[in-house]
Amino acid sequence: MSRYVIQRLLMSIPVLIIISIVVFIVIQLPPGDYMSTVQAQLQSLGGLTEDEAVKVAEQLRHTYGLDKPLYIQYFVWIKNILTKGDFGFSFQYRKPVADVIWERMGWTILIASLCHLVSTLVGIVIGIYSATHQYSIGDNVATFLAFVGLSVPGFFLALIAMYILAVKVGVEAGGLFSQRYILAPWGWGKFLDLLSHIWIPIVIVGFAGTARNMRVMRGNLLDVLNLPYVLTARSKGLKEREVIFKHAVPNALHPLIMYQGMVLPFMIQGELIASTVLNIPTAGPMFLNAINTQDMYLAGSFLLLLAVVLVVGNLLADIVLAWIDPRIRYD
Amino acid sequence: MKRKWSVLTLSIIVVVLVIVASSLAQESEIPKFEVDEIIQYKALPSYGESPELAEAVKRGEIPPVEERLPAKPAVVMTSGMSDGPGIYGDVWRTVSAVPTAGWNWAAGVIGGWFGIEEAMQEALVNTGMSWRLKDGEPGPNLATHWEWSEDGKTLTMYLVEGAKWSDGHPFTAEDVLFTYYDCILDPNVPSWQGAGTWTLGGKVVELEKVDDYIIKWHFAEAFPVYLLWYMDLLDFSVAPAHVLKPYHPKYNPEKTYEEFINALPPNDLPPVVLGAWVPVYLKEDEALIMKRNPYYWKVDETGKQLPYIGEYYFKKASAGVQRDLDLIAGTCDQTHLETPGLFTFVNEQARLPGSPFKIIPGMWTLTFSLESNLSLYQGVKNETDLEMRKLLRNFDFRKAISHAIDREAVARMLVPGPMLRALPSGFPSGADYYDPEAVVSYSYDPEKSKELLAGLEFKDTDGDGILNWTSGPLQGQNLTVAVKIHEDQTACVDIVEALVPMFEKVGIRLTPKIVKSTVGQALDTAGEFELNMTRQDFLASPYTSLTSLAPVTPSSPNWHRAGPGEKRDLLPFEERMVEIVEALKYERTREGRQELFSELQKLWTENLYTIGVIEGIYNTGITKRFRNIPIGVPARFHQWFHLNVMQEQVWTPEEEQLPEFLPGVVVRHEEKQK
Repeated sequence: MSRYVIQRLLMSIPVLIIISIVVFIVIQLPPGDYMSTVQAQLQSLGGLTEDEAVKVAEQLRHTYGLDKPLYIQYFVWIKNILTKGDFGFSFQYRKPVADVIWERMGWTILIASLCHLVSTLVGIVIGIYSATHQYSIGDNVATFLAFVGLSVPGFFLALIAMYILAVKVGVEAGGLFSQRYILAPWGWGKFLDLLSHIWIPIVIVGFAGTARNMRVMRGNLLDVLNLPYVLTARSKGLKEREVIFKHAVPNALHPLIMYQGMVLPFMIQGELIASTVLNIPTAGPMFLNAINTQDMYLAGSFLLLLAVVLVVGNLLADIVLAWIDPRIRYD
Repeated sequence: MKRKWSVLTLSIIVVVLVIVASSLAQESEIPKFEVDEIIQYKALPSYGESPELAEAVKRGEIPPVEERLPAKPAVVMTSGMSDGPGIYGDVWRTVSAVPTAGWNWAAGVIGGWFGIEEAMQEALVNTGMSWRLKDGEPGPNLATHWEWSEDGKTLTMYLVEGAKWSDGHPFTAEDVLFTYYDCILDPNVPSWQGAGTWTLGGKVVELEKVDDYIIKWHFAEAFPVYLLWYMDLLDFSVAPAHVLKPYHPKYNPEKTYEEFINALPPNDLPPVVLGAWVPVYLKEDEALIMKRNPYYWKVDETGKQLPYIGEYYFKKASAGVQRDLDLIAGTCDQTHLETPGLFTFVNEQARLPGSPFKIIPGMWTLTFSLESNLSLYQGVKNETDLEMRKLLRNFDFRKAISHAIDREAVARMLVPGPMLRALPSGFPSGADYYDPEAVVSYSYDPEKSKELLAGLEFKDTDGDGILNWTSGPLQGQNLTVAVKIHEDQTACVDIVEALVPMFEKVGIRLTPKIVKSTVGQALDTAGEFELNMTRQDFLASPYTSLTSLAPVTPSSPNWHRAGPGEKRDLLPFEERMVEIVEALKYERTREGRQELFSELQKLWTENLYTIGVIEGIYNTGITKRFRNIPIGVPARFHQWFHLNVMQEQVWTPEEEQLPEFLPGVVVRHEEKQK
């Protein structure tokens, strides 16, 4: 087992190196850089002529080392991350990238984890119900909703929620708190206010995840329920409840566990879109803004972090699978 | 007899109609003022202040109001107010969709737009007042008045004496000199203006300090009056020299320019400002809150220190549209309506009973036009490019395009209703110096368009409905024109979608090329486009964007840039336009400028310098709580709404006031230094 874990650990190092190179190239791909944004602003909002603005941008590129060759910029970036934990400077927020990201990570991880928890629990429960009541009205309704959940994009649901809340219900749409609670100290009032806001992104982001989990759970459980050992259990006279929850469900969970490794980045992506539309102060809107203004170190570092989460998640999922399924570790 | 009666009845009806129409017209007319009806600088017998500042004085935290104000403060006159002097209280809630990067605005650092800069910065002159002034000129602000020398080469400016920064430090000529020499002119500081604007006849304008409150500008040419317009907000927002000098490499050799630019980071609160409100609280992506500046140097005629509204609340959002949504939900107090797609929706909401906001009709200044690339050298890579540019420079071709556009249909397709309409001339009708007599239009006439194209020897040789080139390097090919659109300008995308079938009808294939705005900027710079569908807001205030109006710099106008080695073949009418723009810089009278602008508009529209498509009215949505909102205040003219409205004079009756987010908080700078 430990040999398997070490092997997997070693393999993730080259993966991360390749990812960091790809990330760096990807964020450099669009023409221009943050200084082009500055240049455009100086021209359109200020009164600088193009030639003057170009000179200012060149000066800034020199100041921030953006005039050096790409590979040198990459090595400096990686060296600072590894040796100092310094992810670079965010031009837009005028402070270290790490500060900008960490300040937003709390809400991001909280919302993403809650979405994950809700979608897993609800998805599994509905999946079990659907599988054990195959082709009943309840199963058909759940299946229909699952297809809707999988096919409607999150941003569209978020837009509909915004419209209904702002126009039909007449409450402040978006955000995590009502205006009067933003500055209030923590207390029951503020907590209840948070609850009245946070369910919206959780429902929107969790909807697709729930739908997916439900479909996977339903399919697996149906497969397992048709296996001979379940027939044996039933013929031994075990209660149906015991057959399903003790013998069938644990064996149907494997693909869901394997999927856990990918789920966090998936949830963060969903959260990213919903937060952007719903105006929630998480990493989502920040990342979008960083891409739009080509605040490259900020965008790159966030992408890199997502990749690390994906790799680590997969590693953990592999380990858990190896732990519960001996066939894998004897490979 | 019968005929006599009917003639009499008819004439009575006509007279009544004329009277009704003229009274309606008067009602909708914007009242105009002399400067001293809006603002004067004088001592008043006594002064008043808001309750929380009075408490702070009692506690000994700040000096009494008389000591905080200048000996002769700026008095916002009752004659210029629509509801008269007001009372203290309330909070102005709005939305900012751009991160706050810091407070060193003189180094181009962004406070977050959406009114943040207007709330905290002050400039030498006030061009936000100009739309209400009879002469339409910049109004006084930190400079109370100014005079030209007889030869026009020296401008003496008198600064408000005894005004203080929000930390109590006196504002003097030293601050103006620091802003000019060490920020605007210093090439290492990315300020909003550069030496180019301030260079006349090859010489950079000199600024001399006579004493703490008198400065003199020295020019190489006589009467460069246009420079007054560059002494306004953002272009010349005065920076606090006493705060920034220790960070500037010129005064502190240990510092770098990078350190200077980032000297005042966003969380370094409160920053030292001259404006009516001071930022005191910032949570990134959530909220920015400003409180009234205890040292603000403006009062009303009863002596009450301004502003009336004690708090400014900016909700931080990821997109500007949040402001419109929050206005509808009643949690935001004001927005500018600039997305045509939302016009009808927001209007409907405003008309609902109990709606918290109303719409203030603005001016017809939203301008959507086609720019045709006239450059023979910039972005021309091969023979076909050159052939295309020659075609775009051909007046008959531009005329054919203009005749092909059914502008009314485009406007109706975008937004049904009265907020968009045809723009046949290329100059928006709400623009300053607009002269309806001067503009020429080539309106919808597809038959004429076809005739013109036939005259240019285009023929549909392959019978596919699209004309073909009959000679030159493109011989035999379809007449295809690419139009560039920046993806964030959604209205432009919709307009081009409407244009495609109209062009097709006369035999031109229009291919839309939608690009990210950063890429679009790069293509503009490189001159790599054929047509450009864009919003030309700068035409609303042409005197403040003179260089965009004619080929006076290598990069202007966008659609006729100079190529390598500054090579550019001006069209015959452009030569006269260059002369007009040069003359405008030094023209002192409005009548003189009007005459020049009329000629410019005639040349521009007669020769289809740009091809206008539609114009829109730039409306403001604002809460019904606020008083002293000037009649007809524009969302955007020379300045944005916040300055046009004179926000320090806005107030709310007591029963309609909202509770503050930070009640009782008084701006104090000493705490920061501890």
